[in-house]
Amino acid sequence: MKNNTLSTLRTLLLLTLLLLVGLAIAFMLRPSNSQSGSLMKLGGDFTLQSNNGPVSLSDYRGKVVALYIGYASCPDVCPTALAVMTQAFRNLSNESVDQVAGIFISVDPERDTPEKLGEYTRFFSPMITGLTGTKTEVDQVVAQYGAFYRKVDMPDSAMGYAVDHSSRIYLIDQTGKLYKTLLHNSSPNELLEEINKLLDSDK
Amino acid sequence: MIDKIQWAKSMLQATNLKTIIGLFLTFGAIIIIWKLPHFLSLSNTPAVRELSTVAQCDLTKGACYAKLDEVEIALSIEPKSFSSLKPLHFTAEINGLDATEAILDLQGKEMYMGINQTSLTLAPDTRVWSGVTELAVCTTGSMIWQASIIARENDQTTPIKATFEFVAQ
Repeated sequence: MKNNTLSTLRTLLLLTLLLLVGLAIAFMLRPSNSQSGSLMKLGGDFTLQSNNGPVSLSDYRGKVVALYIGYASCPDVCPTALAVMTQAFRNLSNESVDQVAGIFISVDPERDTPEKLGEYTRFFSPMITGLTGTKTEVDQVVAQYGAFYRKVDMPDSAMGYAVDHSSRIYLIDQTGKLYKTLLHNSSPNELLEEINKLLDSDK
Repeated sequence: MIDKIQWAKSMLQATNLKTIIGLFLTFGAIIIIWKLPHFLSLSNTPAVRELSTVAQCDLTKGACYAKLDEVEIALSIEPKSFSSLKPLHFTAEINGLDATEAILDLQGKEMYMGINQTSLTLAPDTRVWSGVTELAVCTTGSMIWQASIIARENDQTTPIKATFEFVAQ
């Protein structure tokens, strides 16, 4: 009799515990309000492949990073953005050069191998590192930075396909946090000004 | 005899522990059941109060209006030819609400185009919020965009949202 009572009590306790855990999990996992009237937080660390092996954003801790997401066969906007970055980097003071880096992430890993990206970015500036990864890895970074890309078939073109994509320069501070995004049409001087603001704030 | 006493003591302690855990869990369940309606009412609170656009509107011809009760938002964009990767100046006049924060959210109507949010700045002594941004995408062809102005008085109030559409290359 006593054993039965204890067993019932144990079952009740277990069920209550499960109920509490279930309710707590459901409450914690409830959908967040994405239209809360505040800007969504973007950015964050990632690890992708360069021609010299894996590279993480956290490897650049202490440096200001200018990041661009595109692809090497991109006809105009990517070269323009990389040229803006290159020119801004050239105008850095001698003591600032080591505190700044550029990253170009390709959303076209099918065509852009790390080796190809190494050559592509070297053409612009040795300060820019070309990175890519598996589709899943690239998609993760694209989502983190609020970017987008989409393959567009071009059967009449020798390219076979193009990639529609976001075109922004993401400026990341020395702690790895996204400081701001610059418009595609920003001039090298505007980019340099923002980089110098970050470098000055760290002094 | 001593062994039996020890056994009885340990049984008593185990029973006490079970009782304490049982009481604790029951108390937790009561609290959750008591608070559940509050949690549910929170999740039922509308995320935003949507304003309705007033009549047919073409942002290439001038400002467009959206209204809900006493709140009205007028949005205009300059220049009036909308192209990707060209700076666009957005101006939103918000009346009937003492907004302390306003953001512009740009989305593709038929496809996800990433997160394109811009914090708008209030011109001193006015109700006019503005900001410069661009359709930061390299795309083929034209598409319909939705420009939403989301504003709120403070962290505790439900934000208001007005959505306007326009076509851009």
